[in-house]
Amino acid sequence: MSGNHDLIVYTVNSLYLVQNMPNAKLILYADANHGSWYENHEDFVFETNRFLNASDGIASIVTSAAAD
Amino acid sequence: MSTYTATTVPTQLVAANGIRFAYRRWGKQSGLPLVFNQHFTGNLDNWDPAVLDGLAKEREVIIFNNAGVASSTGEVPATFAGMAKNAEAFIDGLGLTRVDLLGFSIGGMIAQQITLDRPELIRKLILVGTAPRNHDAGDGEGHITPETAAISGATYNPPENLWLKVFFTDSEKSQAAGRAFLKRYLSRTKNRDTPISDKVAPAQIAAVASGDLNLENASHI
Repeated sequence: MSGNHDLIVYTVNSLYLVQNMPNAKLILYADANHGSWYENHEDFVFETNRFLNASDGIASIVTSAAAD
Repeated sequence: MSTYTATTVPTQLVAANGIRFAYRRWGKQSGLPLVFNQHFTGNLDNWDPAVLDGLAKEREVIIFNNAGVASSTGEVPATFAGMAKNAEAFIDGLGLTRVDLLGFSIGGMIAQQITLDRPELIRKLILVGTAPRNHDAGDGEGHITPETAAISGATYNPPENLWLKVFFTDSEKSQAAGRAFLKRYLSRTKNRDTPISDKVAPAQIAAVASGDLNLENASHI
């Protein structure tokens, strides 16, 4: 099955970002394309509300589709 | 305020930097608002209401059209630096001095630039489906992927079926999620945003091709 990754902005870019941004964490969603957060909206909302409500020193989150 | 949803919240206008920005703002007034930067060719209606309203339960959310997009006046700059300056003017124009920021796709590239320009303005940053710039885009032409070129070059009936290919995989499960998304996307039936002009896409593609973000910048975010 093709397509379990972001075809529009390749998923590897999210890895580049997280490797280079201090205080960032990464969320990857399986069997997802560019709209990974729309497909997984309940989990995205849960994770994002938690991230924004927390004062744990994490400054950024990066979300993308999981690579093959 | 808090009784509005993504499908009912009115569109407002704010003038800043010689531009009249169209925006929608709603949600629980608690903590910092979350400002959203939209993807390629998207307007106020292209966000997923499920995401917006889920986040609005715990904070204010603000969606807007950057300069030259749909119901906002002005012109779309051909660089992310220019788009970021306009977005900063919009946030300043609302009188906000500290916000949380989200960017999706090219909106994520703008959000990175805003964070670099104005670190004091941004508390937390959420980047979705984005890049330092579109590294490893494949053919390298205009920094869009071959899949993007193929998907955007096809015709769809109805036109919104484009999003089934852009946002979802070909699996049955993902396509079903895509159809559910399209229903949410169309759920705002009154006072939908105006369509984008034919000047938006070329300028946004030029910004992607200009590659004015790089990995070195990311280390400062």
